Amino acid sequence: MRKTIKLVSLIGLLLIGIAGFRGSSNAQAATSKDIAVKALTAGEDHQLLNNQDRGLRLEVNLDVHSGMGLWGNANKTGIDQLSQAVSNFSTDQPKLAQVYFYLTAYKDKPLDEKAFSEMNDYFQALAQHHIKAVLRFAYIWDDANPKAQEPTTTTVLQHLHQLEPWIKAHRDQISVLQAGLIGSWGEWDGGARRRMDEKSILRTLLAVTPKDLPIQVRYYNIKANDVARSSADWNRVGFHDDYLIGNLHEWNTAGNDPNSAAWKAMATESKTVPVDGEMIWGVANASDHGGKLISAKLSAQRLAQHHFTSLSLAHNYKEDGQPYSMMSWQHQYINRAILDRLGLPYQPSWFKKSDGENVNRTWFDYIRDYLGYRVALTKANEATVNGQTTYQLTLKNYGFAAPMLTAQAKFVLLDKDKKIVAEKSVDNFKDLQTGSEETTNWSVTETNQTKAKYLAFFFAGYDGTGNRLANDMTFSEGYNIISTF
Amino acid sequence: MKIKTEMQLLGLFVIILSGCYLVVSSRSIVVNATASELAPSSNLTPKVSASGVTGVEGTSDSNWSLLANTSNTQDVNFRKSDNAYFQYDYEEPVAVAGIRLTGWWPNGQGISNLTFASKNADGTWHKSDPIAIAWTSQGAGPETLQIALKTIVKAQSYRIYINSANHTWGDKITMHQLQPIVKQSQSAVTAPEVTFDGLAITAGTADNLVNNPTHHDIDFVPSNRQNSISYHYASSVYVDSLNLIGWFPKDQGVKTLTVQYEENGTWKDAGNANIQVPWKTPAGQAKEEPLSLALRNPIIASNFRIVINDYFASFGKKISMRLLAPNPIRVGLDMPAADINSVYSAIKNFGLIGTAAGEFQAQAAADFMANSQAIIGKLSAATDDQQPALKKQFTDEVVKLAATQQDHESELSLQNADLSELTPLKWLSDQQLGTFIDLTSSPSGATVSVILRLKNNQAVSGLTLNVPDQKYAPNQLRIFANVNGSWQSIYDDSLTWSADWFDDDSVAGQNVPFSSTVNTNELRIDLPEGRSKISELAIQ
Repeated sequence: MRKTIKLVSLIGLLLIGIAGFRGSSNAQAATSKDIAVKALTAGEDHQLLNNQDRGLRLEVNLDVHSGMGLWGNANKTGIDQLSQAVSNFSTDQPKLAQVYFYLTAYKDKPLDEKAFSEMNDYFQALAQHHIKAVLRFAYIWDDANPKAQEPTTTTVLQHLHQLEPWIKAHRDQISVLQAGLIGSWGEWDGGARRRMDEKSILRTLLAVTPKDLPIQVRYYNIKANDVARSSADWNRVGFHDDYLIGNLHEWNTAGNDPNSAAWKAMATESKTVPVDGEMIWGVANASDHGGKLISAKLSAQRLAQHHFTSLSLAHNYKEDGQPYSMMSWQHQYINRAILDRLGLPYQPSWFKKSDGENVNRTWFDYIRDYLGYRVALTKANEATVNGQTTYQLTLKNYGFAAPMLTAQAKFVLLDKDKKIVAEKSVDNFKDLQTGSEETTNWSVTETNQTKAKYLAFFFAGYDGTGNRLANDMTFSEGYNIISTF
Repeated sequence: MKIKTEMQLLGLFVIILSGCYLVVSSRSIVVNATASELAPSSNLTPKVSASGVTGVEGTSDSNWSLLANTSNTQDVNFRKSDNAYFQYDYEEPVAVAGIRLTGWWPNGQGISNLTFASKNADGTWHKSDPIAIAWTSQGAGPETLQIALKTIVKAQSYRIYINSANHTWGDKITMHQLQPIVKQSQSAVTAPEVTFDGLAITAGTADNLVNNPTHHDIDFVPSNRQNSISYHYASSVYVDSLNLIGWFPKDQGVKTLTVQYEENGTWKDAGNANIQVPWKTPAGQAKEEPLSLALRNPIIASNFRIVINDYFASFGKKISMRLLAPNPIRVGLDMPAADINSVYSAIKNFGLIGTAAGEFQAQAAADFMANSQAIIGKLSAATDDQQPALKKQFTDEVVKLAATQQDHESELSLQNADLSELTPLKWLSDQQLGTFIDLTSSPSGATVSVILRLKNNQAVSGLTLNVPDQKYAPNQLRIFANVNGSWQSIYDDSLTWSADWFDDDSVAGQNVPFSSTVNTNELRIDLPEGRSKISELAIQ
């Protein structure tokens, strides 16, 4: 086989040479060379945790009237609660936080300046922590007395119109917006859905939010019932599943039947819209999960199948000093044989040290690192014919989900000051599905090539912060440096 | 190694005794025994199917096989309709001694009544009477019950009909295991450990009650509290009768007794209370009388207790017997087969193929899987005499496979321990979760140590320890680094291994941080006394 490949390569090179000879009277020699590409290995890949719009996320809350937290955090400000959460999970480097803004105090009246001031201050604190929001507005935090805190549909619609400019102004800090608003914790329980005009609320939410802002709904039937399939909004409505217990359950976003139409639709649609998830609280394992911890394997399979982009680390990890499922996952080691057997995606170098030796990883590592996208440059080639350079660059996604929250993705030539000399957009980047490759062919003029010092790749979400590829390469000023000239 | 030597001596002893029997026609008193094995080998692992049963909450038809997996801890969730059953089809006829059930929250969602059935040669099904399941746990469990059949049956297909279940939380039924317990073909049961409670032994030994080749009198004086004799077997056995030999039986023998067994920490009698011993020898007659005493209901357990309720006392307050023991038929894995299966399963589930250090060469791995499977298949039907040869064949396969691994740069040596022939030492640090070492401390009592020599001086700050089996996970480690020729302690603490870390799709592990980072080219890891299994030991 190896001999055959060599022979084919030789013939290919000869043909390129002949073509170059025939195509030019000056008969400049054609050159082609592979650019060395190293995959990111174990021990180095924690650097990817800084990537945006993916991964394990915090959960925090704020009473927008008082500026205080809720439940166990009622004695501290929302901002202090955020700082505490960041500190508690610092080793996990979350770059997302699910932020609940409770509008409870305004259930009978318009939002006032105080509410917006608290929200502004809170988002300023988020920015200081370099954390983006998985944002949810809600009214009912006391699920024992839901009707006492429930607003009317009219009030919700009024608030949404008030919030429209605020959301627009903070768009760059919002990774996704969860529909929220209805029911306890904004989770759209059946009773609240019957009491409220859910279609009117969801359609208003879609109308007042930027068209590039993804909206997540709790159940698949919310999207199916309340969003017009023919509308552009259909393609920005994703999901959040707040009842992950490993085994399938009727409270899962698409129910508990993997053969149902809703289940299959979610599997398909989640290829293009973001999906957030959280397990039940660890303290609820006794009542809701037979006293058992939640299976890492079953969780990983579900997260992969429905292309989850984020997962709460507030739930079933370490709660009030008690260890739960995710702590156990840190003691359950896997290797590529297991993932192959289960059909789960992974980047081969993830199981390797830089010296090529194998390394074992844990289920916790796996879920942390493969939520959302994990994109690597797998091949790079530079060919020059008659002074014109053509790059052939292949990207591959190993993560559970496509990098659908990417706002820009491009190969660039940079000068010595990292100024862009030339660029080539990768138009299909945000559709790069799990296990898929995308090859970009880019021809660069001799002039631009001469000016260039670096060949690099840049991809970023809405706020323009560059993300890292899963490669062992220099990452500077948001650029993944592929080659230095 | 010590065990092996003892077994050889025991075998020699039995042969000598057998010779004595032939020469002088003296009868050797040994409890009759056959042995059983429930092995997950190819021909003893049934194909499980269902009728009238619908999987729910993540359970599908492909999950039924979990019910027949002796290590399964995963929920199998289902709903039943009328005449619901699971069917177990074996590749060839097997003898079945009982039913094993493992429930999770069993009093809330476990099976409460079942019927066992075996397929007759004419294709009809022979059903047992309905069997009520008495779970004791009011909590999560898991709770395992082993229900002995009235008689051992032999067939190729079996069914377990689910007549009813506990439905505290709806109509879902959840079980971890539900399977026939297969009787092994041959080989002897290891003698149980025998202890007295309330009885003061004055002649003979406790062991003589189960093995008394010299027909020695065993005399014991009862107390005023409960008087009982406990028998602890290494693994579960099926018992449907007791073996007794009395001497002057109606003058100094046991008159009535109760047979109990321990299940989940509780002693139960399964209806075997106050059984009268039907001695035939008249009182006052000096005669040795052997007796097989049938139990009202057979039992499967590993801990038994014979409570002496009443006794003949013609010669004073003293009981004298020459044999008093359960008549055991073993069920459950025997150790060689279990060891072989665990090595095979680990490589099958986690083995890495490739050319990096520790990886198996592809063809060698394929050959190993095929040849090992064949050996395991033969093991289930092998006689005692055949088993060592099969174990040797398996060991040879291990050696061949291990030879294809590119060695890791570190060197290993072992002190004061016997390493299983099935697990080469290099498997300790080959970066393979698919391999492990299985060692037992040597009888000398000296500390078991693994010495890890690194190629170069390295700064080491800790290690990751993976283990395949909670039962044999080291619960204590002392680690030393060789610094300038002397051993410097860098770790000395206990280790806790949670049951939650062990399942079929991962290998449990934990980081062991050293007290400080040290530069060294040699580490010594002291392991606790006894048996340890370690998958991987990777320095950081």
